[in-house]
Amino acid sequence: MKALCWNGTNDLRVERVPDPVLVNPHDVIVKVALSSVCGSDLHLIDGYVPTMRPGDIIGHEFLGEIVEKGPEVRYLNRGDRVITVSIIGCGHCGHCQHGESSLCDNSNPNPDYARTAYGHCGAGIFGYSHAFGGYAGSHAEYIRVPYADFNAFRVPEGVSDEKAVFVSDAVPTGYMAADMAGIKPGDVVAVWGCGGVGQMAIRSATLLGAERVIGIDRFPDRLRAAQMKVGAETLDYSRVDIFDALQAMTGGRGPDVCIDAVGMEADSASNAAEDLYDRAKQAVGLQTDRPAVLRQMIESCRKGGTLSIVGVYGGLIDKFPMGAAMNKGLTFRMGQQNGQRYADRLFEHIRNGDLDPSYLMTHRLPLDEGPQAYRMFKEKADDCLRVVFAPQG
Amino acid sequence: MASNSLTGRGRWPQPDSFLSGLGSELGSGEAATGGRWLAMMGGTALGVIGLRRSGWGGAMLALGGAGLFAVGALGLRPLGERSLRAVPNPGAWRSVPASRRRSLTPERTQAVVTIASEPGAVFRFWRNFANLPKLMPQLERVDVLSATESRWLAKAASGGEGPSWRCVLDRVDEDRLLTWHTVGETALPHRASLMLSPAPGDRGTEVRLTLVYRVPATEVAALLGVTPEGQAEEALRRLKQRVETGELSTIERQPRGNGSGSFREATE
Ligand SMILES: [Zn+2]
Ligand SMILES: [Zn+2]
Repeated sequence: MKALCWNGTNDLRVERVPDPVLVNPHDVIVKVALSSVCGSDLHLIDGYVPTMRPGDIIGHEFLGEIVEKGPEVRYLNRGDRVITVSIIGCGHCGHCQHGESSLCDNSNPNPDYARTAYGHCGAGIFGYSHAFGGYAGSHAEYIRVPYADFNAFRVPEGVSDEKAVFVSDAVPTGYMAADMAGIKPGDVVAVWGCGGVGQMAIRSATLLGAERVIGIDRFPDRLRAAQMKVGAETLDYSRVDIFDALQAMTGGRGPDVCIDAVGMEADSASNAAEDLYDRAKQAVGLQTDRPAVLRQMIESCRKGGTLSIVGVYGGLIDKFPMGAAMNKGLTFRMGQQNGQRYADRLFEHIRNGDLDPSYLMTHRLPLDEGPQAYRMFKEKADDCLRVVFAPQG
Repeated sequence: MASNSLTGRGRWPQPDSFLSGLGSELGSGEAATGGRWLAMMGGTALGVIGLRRSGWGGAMLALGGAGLFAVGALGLRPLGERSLRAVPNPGAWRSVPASRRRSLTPERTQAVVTIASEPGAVFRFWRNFANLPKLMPQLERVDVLSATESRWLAKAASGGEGPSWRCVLDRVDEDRLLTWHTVGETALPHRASLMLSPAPGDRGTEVRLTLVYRVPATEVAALLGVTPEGQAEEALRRLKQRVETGELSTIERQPRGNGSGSFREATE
């Protein structure tokens, strides 16, 4: 089959690789119909995630049809149209049973990297480096899905492929960001980053009762989409001082909830010196992640407010304003998405018209154009929100 | 540590005692100094190589190096210890006569895991020693000879026949405790126990595996292809997966590229 493989920093190639096979009794093989790029893929392509190996197939957000199933798969059948949650759970360990499947004890077959770096290992993730299990990703014609009964969800009738595919990753990530922040009626929520995840966080915050949601970005098309599609007020951080603007908009209190939908490659165009400092430290390895958004959230958030972090961080950060966080009594919530907990609820929101993520798919391309597509996505060219590959043509 | 007391060499670790010292817990005398020393030297080297290299690979190396140096200097347990331990060094004990190769103090390893299950399922799986090769890939097979006796055959770590031994069960406390030990001639005399206790709340069963080898970890690694620590951790990881999910997570036989595709820059 064809697959989009990572071969080194900024070196993506479309290659012929063997088809995947059933290995374990709870596996299924999915024929991929749609597979989306994701902002967190850029950290892999840029070489910030250290355990990538040449030949790794990337991609973790996908929809397709089950073409083979292992003998122990109970709830799914050949021919089912499914999405698969990008973060793999086993369905049985304590974490999976308590709705924290991204912390699964069993789905990462390669736990030593994470245990060494983090103390404990988290779940396996499709196409997301060997620290997260080394699973082959979905930018391919076929993909093996382990523990399929737990990770794959049948798409309900009446929900199109274009709406459903994002329930794999972007929608539950955004929804979880809003959900774990404990939004209460009347809350003002600020969301840093208006990519796919940020926009889904904005919509979810409203669904969960936020009074106002403020989206922060610097790309005009994203700010426009956040305004038009999910009803955010918007701020362009390259033009205004975010702290001042947020205080002005909230009567000097600051937002009740601040959501980070950016992660480790944040830039702070509003503060060139800080950005240069972070980039320099990152370049010589004295920190792995750029914390510009985190610093801004801690400063801007109201006293006693909540920071909810779904942007991906990999390692260490420097100049973390712990004093501000502690003295302001902030609560931090964070984590990779637990999509298994949300998939049914999200399909319900899509079915009754509360949520329509299909507009995120600004480009639909064959897999052969993978390398160029990622370039366009990274440069945010052509108003690209998300490229979705159709590997079957 | 055992190695130093046996070889009776000077204050600074010599190559053979030094390597075997890595198999012990840090913080116990000269072997610990050795571990720290290696971490600091390795850390500095990594850091220097990393800084000289261009690109992010170098940056990550440098970062790793700096971290390792700090760990060594502060006397903490180096992160690299796990991989260092996994390297068997068959030569390390050659110079000592075979009869004196037994550790004076047995080396004890313990691993622990929490399994989301009643103790019964865990206990029953382990109690049938014929299951153990599924948990310890270094075993060829275990033949159950009687209610209390079994014969264990390990795979050869480096050509020829693997080590083997006979075991006798000594305590069977249903759903709580299982202890066994080797009897007769074997290159790997040891005793072991599996202890089960309920975890608080609804968290399942805490399972503790203790291995006490009468030979140093380096020798176990040379004969078995895995250190006692690696053996214990792997066995419990597999036990947990088997009991909880009925399978072992893996990326075996999955497709990957070989760099044959046309090279195209993904970004600028
Ligand atoms: Zn993603
Ligand atoms: Zn799990």
